[in-house]
Amino acid sequence: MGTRGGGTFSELILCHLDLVYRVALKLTGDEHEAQDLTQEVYLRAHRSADKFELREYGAKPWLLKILHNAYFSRRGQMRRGPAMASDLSLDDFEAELEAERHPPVVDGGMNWEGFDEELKQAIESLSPEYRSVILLWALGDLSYKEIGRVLGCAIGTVMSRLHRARQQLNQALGGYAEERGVKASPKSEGRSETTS
Amino acid sequence: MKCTDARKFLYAFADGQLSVRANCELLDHLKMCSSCSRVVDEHQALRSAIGRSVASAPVPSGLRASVTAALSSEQDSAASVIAASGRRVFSWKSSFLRPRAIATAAVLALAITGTWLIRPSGPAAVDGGAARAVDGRVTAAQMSELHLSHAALGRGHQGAELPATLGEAAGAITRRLGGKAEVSPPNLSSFGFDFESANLCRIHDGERGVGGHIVYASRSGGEKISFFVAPKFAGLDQPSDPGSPIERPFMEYELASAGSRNIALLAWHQEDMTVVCCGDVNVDDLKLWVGAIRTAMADFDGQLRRAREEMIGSGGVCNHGAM
Repeated sequence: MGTRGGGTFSELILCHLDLVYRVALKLTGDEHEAQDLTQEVYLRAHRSADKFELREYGAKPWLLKILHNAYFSRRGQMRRGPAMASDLSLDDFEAELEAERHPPVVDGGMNWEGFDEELKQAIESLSPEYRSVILLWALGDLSYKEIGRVLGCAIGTVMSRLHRARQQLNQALGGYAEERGVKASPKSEGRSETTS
Repeated sequence: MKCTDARKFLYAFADGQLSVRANCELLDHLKMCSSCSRVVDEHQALRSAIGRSVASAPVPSGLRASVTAALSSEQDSAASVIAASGRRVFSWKSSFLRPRAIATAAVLALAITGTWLIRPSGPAAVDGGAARAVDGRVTAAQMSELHLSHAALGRGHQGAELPATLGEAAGAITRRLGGKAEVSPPNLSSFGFDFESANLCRIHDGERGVGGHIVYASRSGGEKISFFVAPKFAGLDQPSDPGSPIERPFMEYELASAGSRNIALLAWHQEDMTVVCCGDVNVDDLKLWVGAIRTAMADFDGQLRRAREEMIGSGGVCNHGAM
């Protein structure tokens, strides 16, 4: 296949094909739509090759950005800028050690093994905006800044959406944990204020 | 560092977003605080679990091949795009033809036998049983097939060489087909149809067989309307087509389709171009949308014809044909 840049560009983008598809699948929840969306992403990428600068913007975040835009464009929900970014601070994302947390397992930590289906359903239950930020976050190798680039929003908005998405996930997954019986009583562990 | 202070940074720490110094401070706290450590652990466990869930999804075995093929086709199609011939392009701009003067969305359907997208992302060619014409003749049925096959591609119909907005696509089509006059397709948004895609399509294998094709999509029901403009071609005037053209400023067809609604098609010639509108919409609606524009165009044709006759009569050289 002829490519711009002498074959390098196609190799550069096709190596992320599986990832793009998998994220598309998680976004859409439908295999056929995910395949269609993936193809659209690569065609758009191909057409925009001249505008892509590898050194400025990695191929993976760029492709994920195209995916995000294509997905929300199909839904007629193009995002336009950040929300509340300037009003946010780290205080807004303070980890809540009490009510928000899902019930811990008695042995000291939530084990997600065996919760694959519940996790999948919990992710699918999120709104598209929260689902997309959670998926990008879960990929593990995108910074908040890169996630913001993909979503077209400020870092503060990324943090806000992540926070709320995690809250919703915790609520959903906490319910599953209760059903499975892997929970401790709410006051089974003491919490100590520690000063270091 | 107290927990009340550490809590603000736990998620960012767990996500590796803190500075080196902040990381160190928090690590010192976490060594001493099991509660905060648990939050970090659970946060990271959740992230890993979701990441595994994403990574474990199977990828269809044919996906890479189909994407590679689509990219290859686009590459090849881009290389074979018709060069602008310098021919004058149908212009809405001429007097009454401006879309703003006509509250209609004329969908111009390029009747293309065999149908060919310049940038196919879906089927490379329509195979509706219609052979590709080589003599510049296209039937209404073939036009309908072209509309259906291209519209079914959705945004995949969008041509790589064309902008993805209505106004810019019109300008690009103008340049591709000649550029001497501007193609100004109408804005159908007030009728509930939004611009979806634009491409250059081969209507027939004869000379000058490529034209512009714009697809509009209904916001509500999934209907599509096609707008084609191409160098003048024959075939729609033929009575052997399904449906019969009636004596009006435009040729009118209603064609059966596999969907729930027939395909309405209206077409007319304008100077050296053919304009076709078709879609799975009510034919009366389409006539209402295009009727006014076509009437205006017919008036313009009449004026142009008279002007030419006067010129010829006075020794001028203009010898254009008009419908």
